[in-house]
Amino acid sequence: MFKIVDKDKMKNRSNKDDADQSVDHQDVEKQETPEDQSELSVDEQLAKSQEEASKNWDKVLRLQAEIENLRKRTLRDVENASRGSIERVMMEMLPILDSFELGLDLKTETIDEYKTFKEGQEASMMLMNSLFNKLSIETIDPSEMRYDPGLHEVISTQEDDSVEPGYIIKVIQKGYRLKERLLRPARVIVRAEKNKKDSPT
Amino acid sequence: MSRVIGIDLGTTNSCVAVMDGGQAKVIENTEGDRTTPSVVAYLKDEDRTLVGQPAKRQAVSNPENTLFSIKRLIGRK
Repeated sequence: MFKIVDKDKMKNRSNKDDADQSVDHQDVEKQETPEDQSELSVDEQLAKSQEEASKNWDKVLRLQAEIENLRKRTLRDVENASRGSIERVMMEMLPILDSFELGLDLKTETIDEYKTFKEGQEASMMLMNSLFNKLSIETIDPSEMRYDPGLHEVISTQEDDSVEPGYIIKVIQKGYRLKERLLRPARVIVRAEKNKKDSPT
Repeated sequence: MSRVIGIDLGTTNSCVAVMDGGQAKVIENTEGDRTTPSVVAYLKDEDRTLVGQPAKRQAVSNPENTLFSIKRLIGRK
């Protein structure tokens, strides 16, 4: 196969006129000239590449050091941010703590004194709720709602015909959510499934 | 760029970490926790599978379809 192709090529070449051959020669000459130049400047090219390589290596080292510094700085920033957020929340909490402490100092021997104490406690609780609003903390109080494993934790199940299966009978402890993140699930008692023993699994 | 990832499949909790600059960095789950309970639950009514914390939360009400400590059962005939 290859031989036949070669023969064909040879035939084609022999058919070509002199003008074509002269063009071929020119091409060869053109090809030779850059080679000569490159041979002449090998040392120069080597020196140039070496210089470039050392420049690049220097750049790599600098970038590496920069990345390491950035990592350290980021870690420090994260630590500072978390400390800062605790400080901000605590600053908001302190007046509420003061309010509860004032309440504890009150005497509760007579009914009037007790009423004052209770009003104070309710006012402190309102302060706490307004802080929750400010921090976008949502209370989860799912009484009589359908059980949702994403927000509620089952403490126990009970038989109760007044509630549908899978619904919440009682909320033991309220839950809290900070925007999309669950801080604490609501702890609940759920209505037990009917015919549990009949199910195949 | 390829990364080295490590998974600790624990009996009670599982954890995933990735190598970041010569140090292992734990990846948080969607709930923001660094460890995830090794619990899987199948909900009969909703045809849904729960994994991790939500699966653990409903274990009391759905004990027959909640799997936990599964490592203790692997390889048993």
